[in-house]
Amino acid sequence: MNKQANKRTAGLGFILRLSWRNIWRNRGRSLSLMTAIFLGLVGGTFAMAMITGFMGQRFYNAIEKQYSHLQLHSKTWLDEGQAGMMLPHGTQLEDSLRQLPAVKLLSARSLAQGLVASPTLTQGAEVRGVNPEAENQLVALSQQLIAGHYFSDSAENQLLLGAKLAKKLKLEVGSRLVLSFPNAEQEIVSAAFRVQGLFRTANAGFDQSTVYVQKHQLDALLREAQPVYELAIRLHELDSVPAFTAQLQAAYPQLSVRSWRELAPELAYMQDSGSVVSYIFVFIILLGLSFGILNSMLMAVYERMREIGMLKALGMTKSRIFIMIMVETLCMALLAALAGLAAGGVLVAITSRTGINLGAYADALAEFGYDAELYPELSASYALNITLLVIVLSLLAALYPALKALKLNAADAIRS
Amino acid sequence: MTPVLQTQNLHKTYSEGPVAVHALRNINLEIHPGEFTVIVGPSGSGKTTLLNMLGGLDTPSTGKVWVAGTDISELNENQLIDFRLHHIGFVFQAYNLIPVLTAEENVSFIMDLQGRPAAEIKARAAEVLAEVGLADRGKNRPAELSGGQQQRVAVARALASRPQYVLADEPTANLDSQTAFNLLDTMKRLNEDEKMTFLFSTHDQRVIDRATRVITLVDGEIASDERR
Ligand SMILES: Nc1ncnc2c1ncn2[C@@H]1O[C@H](COP(=O)(O)OP(=O)(O)OP(=O)(O)O)[C@@H](O)[C@H]1O
Ligand SMILES: [Mg+2]
Repeated sequence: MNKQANKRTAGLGFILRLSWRNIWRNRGRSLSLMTAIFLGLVGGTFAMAMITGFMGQRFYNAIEKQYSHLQLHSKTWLDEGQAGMMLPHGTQLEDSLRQLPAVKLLSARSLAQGLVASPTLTQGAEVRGVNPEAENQLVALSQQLIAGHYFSDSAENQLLLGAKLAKKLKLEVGSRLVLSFPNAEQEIVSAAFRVQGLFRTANAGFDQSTVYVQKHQLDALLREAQPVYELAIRLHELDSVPAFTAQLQAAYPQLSVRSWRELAPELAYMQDSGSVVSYIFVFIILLGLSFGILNSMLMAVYERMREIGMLKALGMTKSRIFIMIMVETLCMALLAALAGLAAGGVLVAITSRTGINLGAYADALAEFGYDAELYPELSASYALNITLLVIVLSLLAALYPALKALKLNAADAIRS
Repeated sequence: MTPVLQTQNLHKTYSEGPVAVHALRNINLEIHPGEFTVIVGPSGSGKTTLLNMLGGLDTPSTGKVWVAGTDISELNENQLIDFRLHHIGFVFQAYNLIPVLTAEENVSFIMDLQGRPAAEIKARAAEVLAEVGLADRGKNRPAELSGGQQQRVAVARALASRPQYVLADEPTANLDSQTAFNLLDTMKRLNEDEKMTFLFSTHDQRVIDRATRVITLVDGEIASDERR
């Protein structure tokens, strides 16, 4: 056997046993520290899962129910927003994009900036002319109705009204209203519509300023033959969006091609920085707990001054004393942290199935793009990251007490 | 016969305080294998200081300490720790045992740290526990043992690894007289049976009566050194 290796590992079993027994020596102190770590991690894990759940939901809502993966406009429409500033050869463009294998869903829209007038009030709004079927596939518009029905009759002038806008205008399902906007010849046209349904998206600003009508009706009012003002596209893969957007922009340099990152920069920011923010949150909890660990281990070392001095006198090397304190700290912290992670994980698993009802705050949440039902979620790497963080922080916290233990002078410590 | 322990012109001066304390002056002594030596002297005469030098717990200001041919006054701190582990046994006045370990574990751990095979450790621990009369108390923790029994566990531990010699600074100071007697008898027997060299400091006349050699310190100097 290798004598050098043997010498280095000699007594390791003894040191581990001693460290373990030392944890339970001052049971009350160890258990209260471990309880604090346990609760800190249950709370941290659950809070992290809530934040992740919120962000995931917001992202899902924004992409799947509002922006899609990318949108095409004419540059002039984005600058001026006037009738007639549609995509050149819109229907051909629509057809050729539909052929691309990366494209999953696509909806062509007509847009007009106009006014909505109820018998008593008038509000500015964007009128979106959509193909009911394509729109519903792309952004699940019918699922966002909170009253009334989806478009049902292509002959009737049906309209879907944002719930907030309806409230402002004091309109309800079945009410009649008048839309007016300029057409391609810059003449103001007006038409009466009946409110078929009220929608509420996760975006309150949108609900306050948007009405949906059937595209062929809007097109007729605009006096244009199948214009396309906006093309919204969902790809099969979210990951392929940046490359696809770049390709499309290169192919159509005269158009504006924007991915969700440009359509909703705040969403992109959240996506990039969100997990960092929630890790900072857990990190602060762990940092606080580290001071508890430091204090607890310092007390343990002071209590055992003589004993550590005696061990040193009898021939326990500094490195072994160091390992003894480190192992004791690490065992205690890891045990409590893993239990906390497990309990937090179970809590997250349960609530991610049942959902947490935040009904009381639904309106306030909707303003910021959240649903009333929250499903906490955790990333796969969370437990591993936190475990590593606990190891690093508890070793750092043990460093000072362990160095104190090393510095003990054996002769002084045992002098009675 | 070559001595197990030898000092040459050993001086120890503590100079941290306002006045320098000459705790030891010009100590020259040889300890031979199998001796049962007692160091006596008034309080403050330097007994503990001398034992600390002989045990490598402290380094002399000047002079040398040879243990089995090695000058331990030349060793650095880590080398001294390792030297103590492998060559010297200790029995202190108190706080000898680790409260969270059983008697058997307390006896074994020096051998554990030395990296000896588990089977050998187990056998030797049982043997020395039996020699100090605690064969059936191996599974007890120190708190479950009397003060005298605890000191006997400490003696068993000091011997277990078969060091060059065992140093004991007032090992009976905290014991009542009957218990002290028992402990001394045990040590004397081990001195004879295991040929273990013992070196004590004490104020206790009964210890002195059993010694084969008595060294008297006065003001850090050897005032007398008698063999009997
Ligand atoms: N760390 C130290 N710093 C300064 N002076 C010290 C130190 N240790 C011991 N001394 C002094 O050295 C001298 C010898 O002390 P030592 O403890 O060796 O005496 P002792 O014979 O063991 O006494 P006792 O019988 O009371 O145990 C004393 O004057 C003591 O005050
Ligand atoms: Mg003393």
